[in-house]
Amino acid sequence: MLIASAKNQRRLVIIGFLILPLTLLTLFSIYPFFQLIWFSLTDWNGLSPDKAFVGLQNYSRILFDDQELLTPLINSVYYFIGSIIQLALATYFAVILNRGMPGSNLFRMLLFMPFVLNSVAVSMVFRYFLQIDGGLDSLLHLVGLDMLKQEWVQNPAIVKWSLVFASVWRYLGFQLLITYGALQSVPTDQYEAAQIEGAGEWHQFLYITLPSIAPVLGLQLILSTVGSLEVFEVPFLITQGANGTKTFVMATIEEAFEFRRVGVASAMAVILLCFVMISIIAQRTLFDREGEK
Amino acid sequence: MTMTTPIPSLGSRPKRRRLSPQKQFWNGFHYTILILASLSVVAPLLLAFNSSFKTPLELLRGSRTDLPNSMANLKNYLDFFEKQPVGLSFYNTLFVILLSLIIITLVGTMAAYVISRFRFPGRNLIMIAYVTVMAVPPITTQVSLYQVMLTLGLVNTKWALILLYSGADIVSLYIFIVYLNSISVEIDESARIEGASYFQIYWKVILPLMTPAISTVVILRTIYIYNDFVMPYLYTPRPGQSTVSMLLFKASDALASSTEPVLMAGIVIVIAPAIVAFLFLQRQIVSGVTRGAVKG
Repeated sequence: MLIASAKNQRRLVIIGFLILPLTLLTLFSIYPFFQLIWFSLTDWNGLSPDKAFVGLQNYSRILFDDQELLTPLINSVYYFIGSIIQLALATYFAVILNRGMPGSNLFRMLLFMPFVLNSVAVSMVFRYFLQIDGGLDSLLHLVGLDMLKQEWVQNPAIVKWSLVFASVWRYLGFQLLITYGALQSVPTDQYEAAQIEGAGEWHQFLYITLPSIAPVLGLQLILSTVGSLEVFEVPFLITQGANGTKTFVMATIEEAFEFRRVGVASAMAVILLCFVMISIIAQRTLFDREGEK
Repeated sequence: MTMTTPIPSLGSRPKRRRLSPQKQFWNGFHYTILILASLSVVAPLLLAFNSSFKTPLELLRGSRTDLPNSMANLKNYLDFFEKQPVGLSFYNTLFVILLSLIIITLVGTMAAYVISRFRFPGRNLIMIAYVTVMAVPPITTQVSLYQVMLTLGLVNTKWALILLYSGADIVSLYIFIVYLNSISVEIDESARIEGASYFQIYWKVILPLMTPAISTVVILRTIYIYNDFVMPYLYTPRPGQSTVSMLLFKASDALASSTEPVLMAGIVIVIAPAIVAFLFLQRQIVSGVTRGAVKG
């Protein structure tokens, strides 16, 4: 009797506790995912009750016919380069702050702070900071570097790097914290032993620090790659995609919500998803191989 | 054991460090870079703060680095409060944050409890589903997710945001599961022997034990929701449902460029609570972000 009721209770708890999370998972993650793939094979406009199956027509249009749809993907390269620089800087800062120099706590906090700030607010700040005779130009004038003044947002050759800077400004501190967290778990006696052996700081970094934080750096590299494929807020809010700063996600959302071409937009989303998956798998296999050594 | 060797070297090291000019150079170098980086973080924010006290004419005539004529000029702030739905937006944002947190905490810990503590048919399938879904970047499914929300009649209601922030949040669930896996099962078992039901174990033993994981999730989600722009932009574009992000987005749209100082005042209004909270909760935020990110 007691065993039977315990069994019933067990079943009740399992079902009762899982029904809500699984409903949410199905409704907001699994179902939309399959629907996305289905939409991408139709010509649906998002409004009309019927949609016609068009096979891979949307895909061939994006990949081969309509150049304007795919070219924004090239902009990801800028953000990817930016994210590599960001990762290098974050690692550098984490390593020197980890030595506990006076004031290192303050620097760590200052560099991390942008991460907790509202994305629209920060983007608006940058929109005015980068305009002609805006904050940046005024600062350059103040320190006597007038010759460095630029059309930060208007000049198509520079604007992408300006946006990359805004993005690095926002996320550097976040990566710094994660790397710093990983550094904290490196045992200090290794450094002491190395010092006794007479190893310099660069060698200590190369042979002790780098190997022990390599997994965390690998993870961050994956996140950066995925992140640079998905950039939306920074260019959307600072330049609205002007001067060739439109990203692939911006183009996708524009297709879906402005031009109401849900079929094409879904196909773009699926293509983006494929790129994300490819880069995750590529980096996973690369790092696993390194781990085997 | 090996005590004898390090002691003399430890004693003489500080002196040596102070004398080495090479080390002094590198310390100076590191500090210079750190100060430059910190200045570039703070400068755009300080200039925005500075502009928020200026009149349009002051801004037009002078340089942005000039101090305002009067720091007591609060006209821009009053203007922003008068013309924009500031109170409503803060209320909407807090409402969304609070309900999302309650849902994700309850639903997430319940799911984590069952997945971590019970072995039942279908468990592996559920795990695989969660891990797979976690790899799909949310931005890619918005096109079809929007249709789901439309069908449910939730577009342009706060519930769309609440359900997106809680229901589609797999990372938090993952943090809960990982944390619970690290807690010994013996604690539940002894409660079980004392005659507690599974629900009592969840409510009285598991939930309190999970406080650190819950606080991590609360911190990460609060930062994320308060700062997010994409979801409100897509799902609640109407003024009545504006969050603070949409408040600024709309203000920047509607206002002409001559009222830049008013917009800067609005930015300060939205950023200030975050900075104050950050200063007070530094340690918790830092450890929350580090813990959550490494696990996620």
